[in-house]
Amino acid sequence: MLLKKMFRDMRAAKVQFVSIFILAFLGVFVFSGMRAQWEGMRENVDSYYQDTNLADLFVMGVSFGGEELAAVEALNNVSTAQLRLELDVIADLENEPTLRLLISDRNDVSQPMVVAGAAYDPNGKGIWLDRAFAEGNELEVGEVIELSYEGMTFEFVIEGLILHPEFVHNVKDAKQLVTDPSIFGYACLPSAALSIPGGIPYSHILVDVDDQVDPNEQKNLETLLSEGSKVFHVMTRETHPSIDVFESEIAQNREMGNLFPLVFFFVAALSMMTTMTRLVLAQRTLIGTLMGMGFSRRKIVAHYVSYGLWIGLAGGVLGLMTGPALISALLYSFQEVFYSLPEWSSYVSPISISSVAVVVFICAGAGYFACIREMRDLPAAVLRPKAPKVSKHTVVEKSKIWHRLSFSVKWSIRDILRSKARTMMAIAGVSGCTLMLVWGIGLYDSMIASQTWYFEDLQRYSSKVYVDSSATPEAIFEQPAKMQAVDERTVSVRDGEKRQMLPMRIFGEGNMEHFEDKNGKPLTLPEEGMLVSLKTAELLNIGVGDKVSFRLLGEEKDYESYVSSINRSPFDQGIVMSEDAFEAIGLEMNTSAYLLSDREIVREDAKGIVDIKDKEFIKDSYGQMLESLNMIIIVLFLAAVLLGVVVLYNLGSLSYAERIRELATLRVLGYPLPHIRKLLRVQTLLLTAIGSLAGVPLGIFFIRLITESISENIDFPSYIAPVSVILCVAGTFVVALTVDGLLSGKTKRIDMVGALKAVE
Amino acid sequence: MNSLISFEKVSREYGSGDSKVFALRDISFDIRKGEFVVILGPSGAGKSTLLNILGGMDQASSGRVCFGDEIVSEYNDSQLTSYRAKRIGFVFQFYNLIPNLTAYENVSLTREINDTSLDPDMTLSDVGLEGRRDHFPAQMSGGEQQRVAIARALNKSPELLLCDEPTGALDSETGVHILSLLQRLSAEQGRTVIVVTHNSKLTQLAGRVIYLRDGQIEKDEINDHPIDAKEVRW
Repeated sequence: MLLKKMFRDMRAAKVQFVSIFILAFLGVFVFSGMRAQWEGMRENVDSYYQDTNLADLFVMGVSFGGEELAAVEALNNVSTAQLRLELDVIADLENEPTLRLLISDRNDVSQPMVVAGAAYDPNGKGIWLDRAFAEGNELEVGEVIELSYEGMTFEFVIEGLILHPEFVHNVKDAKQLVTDPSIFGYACLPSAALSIPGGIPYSHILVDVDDQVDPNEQKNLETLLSEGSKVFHVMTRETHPSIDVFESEIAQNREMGNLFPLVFFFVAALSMMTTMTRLVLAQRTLIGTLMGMGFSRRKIVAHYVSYGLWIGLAGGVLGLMTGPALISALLYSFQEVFYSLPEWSSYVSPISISSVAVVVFICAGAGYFACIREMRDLPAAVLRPKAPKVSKHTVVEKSKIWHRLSFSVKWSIRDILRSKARTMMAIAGVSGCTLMLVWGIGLYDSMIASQTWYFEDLQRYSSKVYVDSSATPEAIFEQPAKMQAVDERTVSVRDGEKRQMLPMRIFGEGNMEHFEDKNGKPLTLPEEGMLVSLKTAELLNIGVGDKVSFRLLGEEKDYESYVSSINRSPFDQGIVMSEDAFEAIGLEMNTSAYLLSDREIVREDAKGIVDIKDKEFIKDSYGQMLESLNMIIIVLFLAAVLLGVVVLYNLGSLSYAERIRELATLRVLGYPLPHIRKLLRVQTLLLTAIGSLAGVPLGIFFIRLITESISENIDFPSYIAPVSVILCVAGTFVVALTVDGLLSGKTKRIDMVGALKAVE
Repeated sequence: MNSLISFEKVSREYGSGDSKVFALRDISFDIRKGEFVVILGPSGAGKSTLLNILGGMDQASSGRVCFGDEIVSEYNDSQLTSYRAKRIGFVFQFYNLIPNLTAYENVSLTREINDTSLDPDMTLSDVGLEGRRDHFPAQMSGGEQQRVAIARALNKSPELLLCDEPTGALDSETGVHILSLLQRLSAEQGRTVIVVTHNSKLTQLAGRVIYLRDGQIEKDEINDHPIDAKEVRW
């Protein structure tokens, strides 16, 4: 019987229960969806690494051979090791992309996953090409690819297409953000396909350890191998660029997935609370009757708790059924652009499923509290209607402004203060709406700001000409004065007991690249000392004036300089020195590229050019990333509008229902309809103003959470343009006014005659 | 003829066809300016319907309702709203004060819609509530609340004060005070007052009594010697 009563009550308070249903649904939908998405990534990438036996440690150095390999394999805890040479060559294709060759004589560690063509044969003569590279450059299995390296050319038959576990984030270096086959690709090549006199000088030893990486293992390897001066650095999975980027991608998704649904859960709890309180109050005498009839307290409480139970369960189950599939599909379509994994599938973990229990608990709990609060009294007292809540003169009224406020504002403020739960629900919902708008637009603004900062403010050149060691400025440029030489290399910097591989750039005379300090003020390249980027300084835990000791590739000698300033750049982390400062510590600059503002000055018969890259080209790939971000923004935008509409509609219909008698009285007194609508609107607008003002800082905080977790190699300041903030607040008001418009029809149905009757 | 309100063959029916029910059937009467009228009838006599039509909350199905020179029965919705706002002062059985507005603010409600509104403080002191200005309804007794409601009705200096069972929710002693206040307003300020009730005791107070039964006027009497409310025995 009571179940029947519940369904009828729900039908009577349709709007409220539907909105709780939607909020419960959205909470679970978003939570389980986002969780299934990142847990799916976790599962997929873990099994990918497992299946391909991804290396645990990457020993990097020069001219490794059988001797070093044997020494590594002899170490405790090492199960297998494999030699590899990594070599960047130029493919003879349009745009002359770089192809990174992974040359190895075995296939035990970090195995390629073949997706087309023949199985990988470590003794074969052909090449196994990166699938994205092959597709982007329209190459097929069986065709021949021509490669050149330092003036030599080679030809290989494409035997198969592969994915490689070390290239989940398939880019040349940290500056390239998106996989772009016209810039970069990779390929696996058996050592047998090359005949090099004296054997192949391997650059890597891939190490597979038995169980987990023993922290001492890395150090052991370094000590053991550094004796021969051939080891440069030992990289773990945590510091591997591709692995690290993907890990931080997962971390970001986890962060968003944990924060985002909180808004919905919170608002759902508050809505349930207000709705149930109202329902219980309206049925107070009925509860008294039931108690008088001999229903036990427990049974009555259970009845009201069951409202939340069923609504929460219905919304939650629907959310769980749709969220993981829809949200994963949506976000994966965006991530597939950036990462290559053999499989993109969602994973519904017990935690995702338990979110249904959480939402049921929240709704039922809110019902429970609303109910027991009213039932503390004895049956006889409960039978009588509750005395109306006494309004009080509040603190606000003591202030001088109070008397200047219009009547409708005064009335609204009193009403807001009188019904606190409803007010809190509205403010939480509205601020959630603004928060998501600010979050979405802020992420976009931050990206745009970084783009302008990097490509306009810092990089003042239009093209970059990569040269080999034989090149001289005179042989390349008609007017050598109009360019700036740069030497880009990787150095090994001492970091306490460890060493860090960091990019270092040395600049010749010129003004093609600008530098900025932490506050965005321009910095000039110091004549002595070095600029260290903020992220690098944080990594090494150093500040201005501290000494920095580093080694060049393949050398054992330590060079020392000091930090003269800390600079900031979104994508260029590491160390920067001027030619003078570099020479002052006894080193010589070895130009690897020239920066120029006018490509016309390059001679037609120039010699020694490896590659020319236009800045616009790089900028385009950045633009591509921005476009895919639009998807996230649309999702946030839709969620914001949905939350705003649900909460404000709920607020509107609740405050309408609670004040129906007052409104009817005003109608009898002769208040015109527009006047009454204004009274309701003023309250909505007041709460919208408070909520959206609270939402702005919260949104900015959320942007920061995301930008700060992006990556070790990217310094991404959060930024939102003032006009965007205004737009977000305005957007929230548009939602509020729209909902108000939807609700205004209700005022027409106010029953004046009903106002004359007694209070129920 | 200085009649304020006239009903000419006014009927009000609900439903249609076989289920048609007449709440009022061919009612005609005139009320002059300054009269104190009690409309009396048992429940189901059509009192509420009559009150609704008088108060501009409902329209007659047929017949003509005039207020002064104007034909109220032809008003549209917004004309009715302004009719209620400008001409009718309404006093409810359950006071219908806005709970989160003070006595002063409740009376001031009329200023939002009526230009000819009086000073709420004056009106409050007219009903003897000058000391209760900043109290909320819940802090006042039923009688005080009803006096606030009367002040609110008076504050727009209405041409007609329409009272729906004004003493229905009050104990007898408080009821006497309210009725005596209404009598005084009628006598001193010359206001037209209509009280709709089922309580026959109230007939002694009024200069005129209209008896309603089954949607029709049973009797329409003039009482030449209305007595003071304070002398009525309950």
